[in-house]
Amino acid sequence: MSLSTPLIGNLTLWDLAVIAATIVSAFIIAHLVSLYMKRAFSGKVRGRDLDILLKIVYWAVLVIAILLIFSQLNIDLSGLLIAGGIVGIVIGIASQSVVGNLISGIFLIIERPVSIGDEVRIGDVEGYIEDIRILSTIMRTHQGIYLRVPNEKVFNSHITNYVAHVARRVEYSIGVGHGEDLKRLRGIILPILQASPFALARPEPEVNLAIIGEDRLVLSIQFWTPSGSYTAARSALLEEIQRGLAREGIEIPPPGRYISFSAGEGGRGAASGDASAGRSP
Amino acid sequence: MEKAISVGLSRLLVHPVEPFNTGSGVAGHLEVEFPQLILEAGATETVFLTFPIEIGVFVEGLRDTEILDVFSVEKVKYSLYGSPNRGVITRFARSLRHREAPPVDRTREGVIKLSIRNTLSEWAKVSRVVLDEAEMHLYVADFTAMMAVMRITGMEVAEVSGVDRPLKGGMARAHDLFTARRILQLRAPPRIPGVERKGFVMEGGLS
Repeated sequence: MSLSTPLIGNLTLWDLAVIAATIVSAFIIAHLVSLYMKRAFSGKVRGRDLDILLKIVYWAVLVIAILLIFSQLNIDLSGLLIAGGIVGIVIGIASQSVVGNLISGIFLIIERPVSIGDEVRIGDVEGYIEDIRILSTIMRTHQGIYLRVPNEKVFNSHITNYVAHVARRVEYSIGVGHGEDLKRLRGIILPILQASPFALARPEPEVNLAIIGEDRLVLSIQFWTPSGSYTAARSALLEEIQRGLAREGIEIPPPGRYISFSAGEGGRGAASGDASAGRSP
Repeated sequence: MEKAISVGLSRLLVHPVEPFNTGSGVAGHLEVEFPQLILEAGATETVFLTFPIEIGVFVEGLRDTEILDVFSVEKVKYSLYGSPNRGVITRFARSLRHREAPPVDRTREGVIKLSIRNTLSEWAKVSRVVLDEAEMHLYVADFTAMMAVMRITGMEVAEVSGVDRPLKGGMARAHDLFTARRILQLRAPPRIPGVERKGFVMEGGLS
C-alpha cells in the first residue's frame, strides 16, 4: 500500500498523515504559545484576565489548524467564509470598542508606560494606578475617587508618569526686596536644603537670581528629591524656607510699585533718589 | 514615640542594621564620598571609610526574631547616583579616607574596608563608592564593620561587591533585615547563602 492509496473516500494515507501531524502540531504550538505568554505576562496581568487571554490565543491557534485541515480535505470554504465574513462584520461593528480596548490593553501591558502604584496624569485626570486590566485601567484620584478608564483612552492619551524616574526637581520662585544680598540669602536657604534628607545631596541644590523685577528680586530655588517624596518634600521645605527667611528678618514684599522721594533743595520734595519710601498700589 | 513591650520569656536586642530602614525605603544603595584617590594602572589599594548605620530593636522569641523598631542617630541624607531615569537613590555619607580602621561612634557609624583595584592600563581617579543593599554584610563586635571590593573596569565604571567575612576575629554577623524586606517587597531576589552575586555596577562615574 502506497501513500497515495485512497483509504476513506478520496482521502489518502498521506492526507491522513498530514491531518494528524497538523492536529498534533496545533496542540503543541497552542500549548507552547500559551506557556510563553503565561511566563511573559505573569505578574503583569491579573490572573483572571490572563486566563481569558490565554484561552483566546489557544483557541485561535486551533481554529487556524482546523482551517488548514479543511483545505487539506479540499472542502470548499467559500460559503463558510462569506457567512463568517458577514457574521464577523456584524460582531466587529458591535464589539469595536471592546476589541479596541482589548488591543490597547495588550499594548499597554507590553509597553508598560505605567505600573500599579504609579502617580500619573492620563489626559486630564490625575491619580494613582490601582489596577491594569485587560479592558480598562483603574485609577484612584487624589480625592480618593474610583475611576475606570477604558484602555483605548489610556493608550491614545498623553500620559505623564510622575514616578517613572527615581528623582524629580522641585522649583520655587520667591520674591525678596531689592535691598537683599544674594550671598546672604544663599547662606540662609542652602543650609535648610542641605539639612533635609529629601533634598538630595546630588545634584546639588541651587539658589539663583532669576528676575530683577520692578518691585522685587525673584529667586529661583531648585533641588532634587526622590520622586515618591515629591509632594511632601515640596511642601515641607517651602515652609522651612519661609520660616528661615522670616527668622532672619527677610520679608517677601507684597506686589506693588515703590516710589522713593528725597528731600530737594529748600526742603522741597523731588520724585527721584533714595531715602524714605512710599507705596502706591 | 513611647512603646510598651511585654517580652515575657523573650529577649530584647538592640543591634546595628543597614542604613535603609528609616525614610520609607527610599534608598536601596549606600554611597560614600571620600577624598580623591588616584591609582596607577594595575594597582590595588585598601582604604577604610566610615558609613552610617541604623539601630534596630529586636525581640528574640523562642521560635523567631522580630523587628520592633529602627531608628537613626545619624542625620539621614539621600542622593542621586547616575541620571534621574537610570540612576539610583542612595543613602549618602561623606567620609575621610583612612589607612586603618578609624575609631567610630558605634551608635552612628560603621567601618568599611574597601579594596580598590584598578584593572585599567591607565591611571584612575576614584572618590566615591556605591554599594547595593544586598552587598552589605555587616559584622559586629565593639563596632560595626563590613568589607567590599571595587574593581575599576572603565574610566567611569566600576564593579562593587561585598565580602561576606568579618573584618577581624571575634566579630559576629549582624541581624539581616535585608532578606525579609526584599521577600516582602518583591524588589529583588533575596540573598542566598553560597550564591555569589555580581555586585553593583557603578556606571554613573567614580568621582
